Amino acid sequence: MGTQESDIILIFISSALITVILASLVVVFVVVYQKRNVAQRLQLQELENSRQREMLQATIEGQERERKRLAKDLHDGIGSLLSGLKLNLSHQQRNPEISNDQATFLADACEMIQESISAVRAVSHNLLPATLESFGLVQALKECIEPLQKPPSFSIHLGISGEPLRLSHEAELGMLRVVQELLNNTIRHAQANQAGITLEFTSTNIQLLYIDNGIGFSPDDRQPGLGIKNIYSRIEALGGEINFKHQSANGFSVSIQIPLTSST
Amino acid sequence: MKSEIRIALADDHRLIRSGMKSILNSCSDFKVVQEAANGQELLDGLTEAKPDVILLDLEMPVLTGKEALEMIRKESEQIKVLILTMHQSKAFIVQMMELGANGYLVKDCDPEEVIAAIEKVYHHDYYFSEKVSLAMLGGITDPALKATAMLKSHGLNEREVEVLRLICEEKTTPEIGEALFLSPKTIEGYRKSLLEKSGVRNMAGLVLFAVKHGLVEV
Repeated sequence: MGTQESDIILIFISSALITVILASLVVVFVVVYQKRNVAQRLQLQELENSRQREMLQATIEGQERERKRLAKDLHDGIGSLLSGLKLNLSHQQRNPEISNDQATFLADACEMIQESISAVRAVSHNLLPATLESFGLVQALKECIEPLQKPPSFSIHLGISGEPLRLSHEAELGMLRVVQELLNNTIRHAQANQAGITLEFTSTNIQLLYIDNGIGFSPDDRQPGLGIKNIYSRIEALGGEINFKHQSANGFSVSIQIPLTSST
Repeated sequence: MKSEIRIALADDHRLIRSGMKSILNSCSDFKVVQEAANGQELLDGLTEAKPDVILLDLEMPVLTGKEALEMIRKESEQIKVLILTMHQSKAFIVQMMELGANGYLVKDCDPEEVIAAIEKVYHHDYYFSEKVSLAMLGGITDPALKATAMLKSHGLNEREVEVLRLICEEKTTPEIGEALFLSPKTIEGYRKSLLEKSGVRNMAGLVLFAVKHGLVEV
């Protein structure tokens, strides 16, 4: 009877053991399966993100390429031809054989052409400043700030620290557009009389700090405007980070970091 | 006054060249001896045309004005190069002067200015328009630039600074000699040592150097 009992116990123990093992196997299987599922979903998400970033980059690039072509055609083509036209007409104006009426007509024509040249220049510069490509971000920033300076009602300070490097065209253009957008925002909405831009070049990244002393605003407060959306997508396309630091009565402040990669 | 000034025109717009040509040829002192649609055409024809002054556009196909200027300066410091372009930003102006251009004109200037500029670069070696002087002044009020200018001390002695100031006033060698009671030969010597010490290519570069170091008031 002793052996029979111990047999039962043995059977009982071993079946319990097998059940436990089977149960834990099931648990392990479920956990592994779920983990893999999550990893797969993450991977998919990652893929989707990078696809979206690529699409964003492509859209921005396409847009900018078109702008560049337009800016160049306007500036070097139409601008040049208008200048040539003005030169010829003002040469005619000095011809002693023409009548007073004709001279007045030519003078007016020259003035109109000069205005067109200025307009072509301004449009072309807004589309893409020629300085950016030839001389880089810092010079282009200086040039874009200069006409906005209206002290004492509004002044902009630009500070550069570190060795200004030439970056990829996309990165330089992206940063320029972001600063333009921020300045635009300050001038239109902030009621500020000062803005400060600091650009710091380190070996690993570029940091942009932008502040103004206006009424401030929070991008979370309300639906973000097109300008702010543009800033986000520019920075995202460059793989950078953006932080609207605080939005209070003390003005507006934002910091942006762009990593320096081989492509930047 | 010497004989006629030989001029080369480099611009990719044919109409602009022909307009400019008729304006310049209407001056009895000028003769347009070469026309080029790009930098390469200009370089190819230089030996035969032997211009004294080149009116050079910057944006041209095949070989740009900037590239052409660099090539020309490798060969010769004698030919005067006057940039004629749509670009009016400071960075472009300063860069061209540093590359050895003798003057810089913005394309929408008056015909009188083009004529005056050609005469100036021919006789005085450099020409700066009002716009260009303002641009350089702007460069000096820029704190970053000012700091580097102060840092790099100019290393000229008092006499050289005097000569440099007079050069910036568009005085010729004999006139400078008269003002300082020195022989023209001595002044020539000062001109040479000024070029050497400042490391620039020509008188235009010297003026730029003087402005950058705050040695003259613009």
